[in-house]
Amino acid sequence: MTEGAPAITTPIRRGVLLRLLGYTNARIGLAIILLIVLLAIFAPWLTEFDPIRQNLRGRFLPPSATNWFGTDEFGRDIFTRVAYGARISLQIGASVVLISITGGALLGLLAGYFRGWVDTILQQLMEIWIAFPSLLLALAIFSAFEQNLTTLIIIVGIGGIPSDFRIVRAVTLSLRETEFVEASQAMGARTPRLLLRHVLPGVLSPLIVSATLSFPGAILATAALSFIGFGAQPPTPEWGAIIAGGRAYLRAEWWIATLPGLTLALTVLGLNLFGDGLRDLLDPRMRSRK
Amino acid sequence: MPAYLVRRILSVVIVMLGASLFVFVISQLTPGDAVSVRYGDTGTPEQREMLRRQLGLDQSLPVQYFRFVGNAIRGDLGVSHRSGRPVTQEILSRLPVTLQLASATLLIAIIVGVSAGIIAAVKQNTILDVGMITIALLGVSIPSFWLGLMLQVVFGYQLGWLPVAGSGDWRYYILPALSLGSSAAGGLARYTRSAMLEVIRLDYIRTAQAKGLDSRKVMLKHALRNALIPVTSILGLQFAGLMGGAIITESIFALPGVGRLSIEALASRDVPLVQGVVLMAAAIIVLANLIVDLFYTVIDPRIRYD
Repeated sequence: MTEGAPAITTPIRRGVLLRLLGYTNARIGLAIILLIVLLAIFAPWLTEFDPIRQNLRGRFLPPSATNWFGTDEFGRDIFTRVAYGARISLQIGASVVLISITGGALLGLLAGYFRGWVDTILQQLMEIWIAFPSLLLALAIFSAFEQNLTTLIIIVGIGGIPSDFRIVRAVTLSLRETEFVEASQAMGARTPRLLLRHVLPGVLSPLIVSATLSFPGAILATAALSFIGFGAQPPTPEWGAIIAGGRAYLRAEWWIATLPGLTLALTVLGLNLFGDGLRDLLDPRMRSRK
Repeated sequence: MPAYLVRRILSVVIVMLGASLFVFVISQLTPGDAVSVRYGDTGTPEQREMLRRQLGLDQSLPVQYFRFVGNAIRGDLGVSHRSGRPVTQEILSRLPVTLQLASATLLIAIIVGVSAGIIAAVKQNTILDVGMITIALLGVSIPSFWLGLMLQVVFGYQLGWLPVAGSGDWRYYILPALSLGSSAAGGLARYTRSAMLEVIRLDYIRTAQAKGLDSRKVMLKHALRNALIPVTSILGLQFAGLMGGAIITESIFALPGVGRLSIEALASRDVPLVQGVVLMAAAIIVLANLIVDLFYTVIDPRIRYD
């Protein structure tokens, strides 16, 4: 079905994951991601502590065999909070990416397929959107709405729409001219069916690459906003919020902010490594030369 | 070129109108209008009515919007609830700090990022290349707010080399610029490397090498010039990212810039001030992108937008 379509629309086949494992970087990335996912899933079994309940007798304990990452100012085990935090961060990343690819795909398909004034208006809208980085958008919207995690996820998700829009629009523009789309048009296929059955599959693989590459950015942006106090609120064990909690104790109790931050950095590194590999595999145009 | 310029400037105007409409709509959705913020539960109905009329709140929404835009064009962004001073004045007094932070950051990012990218490409597939790519990857993966804290611990508290908070001479900007610039530098290094590798494969480079030119000269003079063209185009995007990141960096290092101002404004529900900062930042980003686009046509004669 890729006859005449640009190389970028290489369809995803079942063997992709296997071939991906041929890349050392992607392998390391996948291993890190699996580690974090396992940490998130098995958090209750990995630790005997509670992520929220305070234990004022065990405050500020340095890392040890019992408390791997030490304890914080409320005596909570930091490793436990980080493990439960993995659940939150992964969910945040997934929700953000889902919002931006759904929005980007929908608008991109419309713009690329109908062209004309629909395209002009949507493109202009995206131009306006890009003038607001996610963080600024968040500030503007937070001044009017409640400051919580859901609002934050929606804002960062919407902030990611323009880049997915561009990708989908470009691919749709070129797919629209292909013979199989023309043939199906000639046979009287309705527009929604045409878009869903024939154009969307071609858009899928660049969209998956884009989703993988924006996942780490989504986690970083939401963690950063929670860090400055907008988004996840205490005592939620969100990584950005945990790091913010350790800020006051940097001089002596360094572990409170340091170890959760390392976990966050490691997660983002894993996602980046994996995303790079997936891009190289699915999008030969952007392949980094070997 | 002039036709392109006209179209491009027209698009800037549309974008700014859209941005102002967005900010205006948000302010309409914000609970509590200026009158109740000023008077709270006090004030006679007459006083309230007078202020409403003074602020133009008795007019229809479209009229209010056009008045808002008209005032904004003249540099009047309203009055801060918190301080009672004009928003424009508040922002302008904080802008120098943010601009110094942004320029220091861009400078570090460009110097470190571009040279790392060049070295990695020229020494492709050597240990040096792998090392540069790895550091660049770490740069884009390490959260800049966390890096900021770690820099404070190491260079501030442990070694005592640099100040960790406040503003003053250039030493106050080193740690903030490092923490804000690490991801931009990493991104630039990755981008420069692939742009260089793209160019190095081209025929004219092979010709230059075949002529027996000094290989350093070929790389720095022939290859780099063309490789830097696409690199310039992402500088606009990087700049937008920096404007957002400054909000967080300034709060970590207690730098009294526009980013910190916006957080203070948000914390005290000072809507005109938040709006003003957002609108001003959008304007700066749009302008930066316009400059990058125009610069692009100048440095690359192959591009003509007509």
